[in-house]
Amino acid sequence: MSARLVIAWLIGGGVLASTLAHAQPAPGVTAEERAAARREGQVTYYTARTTVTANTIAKKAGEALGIKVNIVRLASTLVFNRAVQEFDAGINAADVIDTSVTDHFVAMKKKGMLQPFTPSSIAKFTNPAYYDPEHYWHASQIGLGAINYNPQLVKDPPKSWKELTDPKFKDKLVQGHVKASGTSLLLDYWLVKLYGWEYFKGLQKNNIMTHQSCDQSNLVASGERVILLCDHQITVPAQSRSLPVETVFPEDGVIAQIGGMGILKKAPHPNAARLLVDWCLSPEGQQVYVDSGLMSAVNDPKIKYPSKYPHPSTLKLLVADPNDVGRMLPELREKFSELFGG
Amino acid sequence: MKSTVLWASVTAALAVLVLLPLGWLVVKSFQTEAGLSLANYVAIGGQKSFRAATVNSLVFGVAASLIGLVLGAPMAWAVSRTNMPLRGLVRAGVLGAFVTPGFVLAVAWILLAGPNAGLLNKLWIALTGASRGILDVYTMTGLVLVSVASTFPLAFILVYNTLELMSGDVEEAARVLGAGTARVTWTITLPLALPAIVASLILMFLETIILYGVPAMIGVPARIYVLTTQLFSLFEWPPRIGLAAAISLPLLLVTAVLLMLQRRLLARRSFATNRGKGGRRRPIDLGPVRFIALGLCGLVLLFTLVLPYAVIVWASVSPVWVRALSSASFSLEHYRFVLFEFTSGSRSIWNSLVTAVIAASVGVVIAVIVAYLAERRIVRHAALLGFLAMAPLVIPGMVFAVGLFAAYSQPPLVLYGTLWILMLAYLTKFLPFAYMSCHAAVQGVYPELEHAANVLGASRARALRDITVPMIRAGVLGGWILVFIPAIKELSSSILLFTAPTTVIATAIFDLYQLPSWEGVAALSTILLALNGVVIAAGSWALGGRLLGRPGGSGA
Repeated sequence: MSARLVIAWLIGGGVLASTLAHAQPAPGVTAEERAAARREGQVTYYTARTTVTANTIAKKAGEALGIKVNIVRLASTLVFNRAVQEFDAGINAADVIDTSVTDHFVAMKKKGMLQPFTPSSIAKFTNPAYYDPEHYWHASQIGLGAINYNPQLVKDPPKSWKELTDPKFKDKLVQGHVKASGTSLLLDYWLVKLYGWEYFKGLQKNNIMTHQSCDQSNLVASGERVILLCDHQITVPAQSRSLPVETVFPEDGVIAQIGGMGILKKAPHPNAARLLVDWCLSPEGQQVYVDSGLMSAVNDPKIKYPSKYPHPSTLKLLVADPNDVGRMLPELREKFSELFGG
Repeated sequence: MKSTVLWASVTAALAVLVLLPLGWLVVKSFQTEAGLSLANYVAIGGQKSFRAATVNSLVFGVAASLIGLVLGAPMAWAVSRTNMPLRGLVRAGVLGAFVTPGFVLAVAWILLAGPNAGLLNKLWIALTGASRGILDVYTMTGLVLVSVASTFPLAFILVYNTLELMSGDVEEAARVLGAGTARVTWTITLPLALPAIVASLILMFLETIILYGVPAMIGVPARIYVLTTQLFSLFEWPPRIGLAAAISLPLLLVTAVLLMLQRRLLARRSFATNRGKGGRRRPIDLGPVRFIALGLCGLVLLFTLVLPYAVIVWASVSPVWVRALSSASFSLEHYRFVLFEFTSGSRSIWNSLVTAVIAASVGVVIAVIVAYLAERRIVRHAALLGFLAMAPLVIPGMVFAVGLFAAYSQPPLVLYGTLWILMLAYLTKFLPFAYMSCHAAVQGVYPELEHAANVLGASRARALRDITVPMIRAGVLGGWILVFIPAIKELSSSILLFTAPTTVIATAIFDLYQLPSWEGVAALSTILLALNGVVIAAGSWALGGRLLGRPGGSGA
């Protein structure tokens, strides 16, 4: 064999090898992975979805995929803290993690906690902000930060955030605390950006009540306070229990809360995990999220939004730059606490 | 020789239980991204909000423990020493208040005394035609009073136990010599009960400043932040556990100082009052005043137990609580939901029972040994053991859980994901309660009785078994209950340590609260109270009605 031929072979082999190494795997789950997932038989799903939604996902995905879905359900930060704690301790309990905060996934990717996976629905994602360019995570849902109110006690609900400083809403308002609620943090980031801290002085003048969590639908339904700065999705479980809680999608902007979903690097059931994520991001899976009041990051005619509310595509959606939120975090915490305690 | 072995093994057990997690906390408090430093402490000290929260915690703790004492101690006296009617019922009522989780009481009082929608305020407006209600739960007063409802039973139980253990001889002698009831109570009973009174004040203060549920639900909307609600925000994204640890360790120092103060105050006196003879005490005849006493006890229980539970039970059987007033209807739907549909409902009840029973049983064994060693000064540095046993009291559950997780999620002891780590959390967290109850009991036994047995040729072990153990039985069972009950409702450490198969009642209730379902919380809370009622009744039956003492009975 001539030297030239050897070199040609080597180059050819090298090119082939590097092509293989850099090739994006085809989106979705392969037949082998599907079979392996069946053998694994189960998947452990750490989620911040509501109990009803998490149970529905477990049931529907379990039936569709032929595997058992074990749920650990907690608030977003607790799900995240637990996953980090377990990773640091070398415990591999969780397969899939699903929270309402993109930052969690940015941090987990940086820590090397996640493994990449490209779902079959990847081409239908409507905005590149909705997934990691290297596919370590994808938005499982987009929460819609908005104004909630009690329709029995508020006949003339506010149409915008701006209006809430009007004295006619004195003693009627309630909000969450930026130090305890991710939703409130994002809402207040935008409200400061739109109207400055003067706006919050107006809320303070209106004697707004501040809780830790912004989901105060019980309080709103009971009439203790009747207008809530939170999000649309809290109305779904509330209305299913016939509580009088409705949403106004403010004219001056609906605040996008991009949640994420990813697979742990050392998932004990990696194939079942891919199967579950692929299902959750498919139109069938996304319908469960949409039914719970969330918006889908995926555009597919099969996903049906409730007719009662405007289609998400008609809303003025405010999508934040996570780096800018991080930059403003200390100021938000400090100024908010000065005004509302904490 | 033997006692040295015992001392060594108990010290080792306590060290693993208490020092391992605490050690991790110390490490975390100095850990920063730049390596080990004091940065966390400096950062905490420089925060205005932290200083304000410290002041609020102090006011909150002092107010709640003083009011708790004013309510609990006289009730204990009335039940233990007088002929007030329905004493057993009053005692059962106090236990009922004791088993109710603080955040359930908070929900109940928001339903009752919310300024705009509270039931009592609506009633007031309907009755008087006033434009506004008179109660506002969202105030410092509201915060203190709701917390007192869950802490005053501590004063009752500790004072009651001491009174029951106290021999009636001295009081009887004074009476024979012509002293009136007031004089006997003031000059004899009260001074003899002083260790229990001081102990209960300290216990209530420490319990109050680490409460989380009530300050979160009532304090935060009232813009009153305390140390625990400040701590909670440190666990939110991005979590700053080093800062949390740096807040917790000074709290531990406060406990140490308070406990030393207690020792100093009481060191010179001999409080051994349990001569083992006892005999039946004649209850003090209050005459017609006994009905007034009953009325006052009833009033306390009305606000701490009857009204909260009435509203909780009502909510648990209302299809939708916010419409319960306008359309009265009855439904067991929420019970069906929490028991059969809600995945963690029935499993959590079993897990809670198992962990609480084991924690309480192991806890009293350790507590009795430590109390005995510390009280009899059998070995050197026994006081250190007592401090170790008391130390977990002041660590907020959430922070302690961080230490536990660090300690038990890596070799040699990987317990995370099992019920054992929850059991250890409860055992360690509530060991101080067992210790206080057992210590008070051991303190009340004259050492001379053991010495007499020794003189007559019995070994120390035999003297313990035949004399001390029977005499402290009530205190030990009291200690068991004092671990079991808080363990079965513990939320703040469970929330970090449970996994799907190891969910417990408190985490299930918390999940329901986040749904958010006031009705589901109400249903599972009612089940929890019923469960505790059964356990207390069973314990009471096992001791022939002498659980936590018996009206008019003695310690012998």
